[in-house]
Amino acid sequence: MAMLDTPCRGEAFASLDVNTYMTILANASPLLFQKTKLLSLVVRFDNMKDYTKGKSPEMLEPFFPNELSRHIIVSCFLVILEMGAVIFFPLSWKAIDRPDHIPWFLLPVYKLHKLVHNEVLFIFVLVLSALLFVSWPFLVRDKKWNVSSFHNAEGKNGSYAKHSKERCNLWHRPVLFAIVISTIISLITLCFIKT
Amino acid sequence: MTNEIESQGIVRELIETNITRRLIPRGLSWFGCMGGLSLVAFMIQLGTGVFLMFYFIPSATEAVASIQKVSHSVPYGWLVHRIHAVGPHVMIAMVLSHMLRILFKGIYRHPRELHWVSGACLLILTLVMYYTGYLLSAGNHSSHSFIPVTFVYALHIAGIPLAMGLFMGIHFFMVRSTGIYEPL
Repeated sequence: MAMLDTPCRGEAFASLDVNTYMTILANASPLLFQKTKLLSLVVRFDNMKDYTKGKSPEMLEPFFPNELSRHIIVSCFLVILEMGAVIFFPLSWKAIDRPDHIPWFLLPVYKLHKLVHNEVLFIFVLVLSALLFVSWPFLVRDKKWNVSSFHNAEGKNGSYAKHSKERCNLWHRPVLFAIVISTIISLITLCFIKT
Repeated sequence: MTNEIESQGIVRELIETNITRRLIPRGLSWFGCMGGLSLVAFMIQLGTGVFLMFYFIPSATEAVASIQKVSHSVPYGWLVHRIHAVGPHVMIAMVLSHMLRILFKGIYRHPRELHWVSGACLLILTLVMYYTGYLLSAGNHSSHSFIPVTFVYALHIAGIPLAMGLFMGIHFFMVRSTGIYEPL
């Protein structure tokens, strides 16, 4: 019971064994035990990434209020954008020949449907595209750098981690970059094709 | 009394660990908020959708009439309906921006491959969600009116949102455990 007499806050709680705490609490107050069980489970299974490892204080900033206010500001912009869209959308300007019920983001699918008359082939192309899109990280996996970059990014070797991170950007891999850019251009071109 | 203090201690610890005492890498990009904005857009859709659920009649003959009733008879119904109709465009624009950033910065790489998979599944589900919503608003004027409206309605308000909730949970859990992409 001596453990319960200690105020369980901040650093003190971090050192408390969850199993011991739950046993003591279950004996002391079954109702409170039920209420606290969920919170304790959250604490127990919480495996949030610790950004402080291997970093100096100058490399870090507080989440509150810095990051939180960033998110609040951009959320306000989103609401303004949505209200603007409520007033002005859809735009009267129509550069692309399409029915009104086809939205801009489904336009490539609609044009593809118009171009490919075989339904089976159309569905096959759609499913294949979706599978390629979902499994993209596994298709372009670079075994030489992937595992090592993850381990070294933890702080074992700073320069190596920096080098592997620089290689992450798509424009550092010309073939992949060309594939992605040509796919995007093809999709945009497909929207403008007259069917 | 001591137990109450203990309970408050856990809540305080959760708040301190997750918000007030949490430290993140300095110099994160504003474009990194696109994922959060997608969630905000989804919440707006959820809120307006729940409002519309009270008035929408999932019937082939009455669907369109019930939507018109919301727009013309219910106070601010036109605004809620309009937001719900325009929202998917904003939401999909946010999701696409988020995914393009992930793609071009190579953030999908190890150990974040499954983040991409869950995110891509969320995008596909969002598109399906839009399509079912369109079918509902079109009623029996749709070219796919052979699909029962109740089936589409169940998919739109329960099936797909539940699947999206599941994928979002997985997505957020993984982002939390591996951490956000850190700037150089």
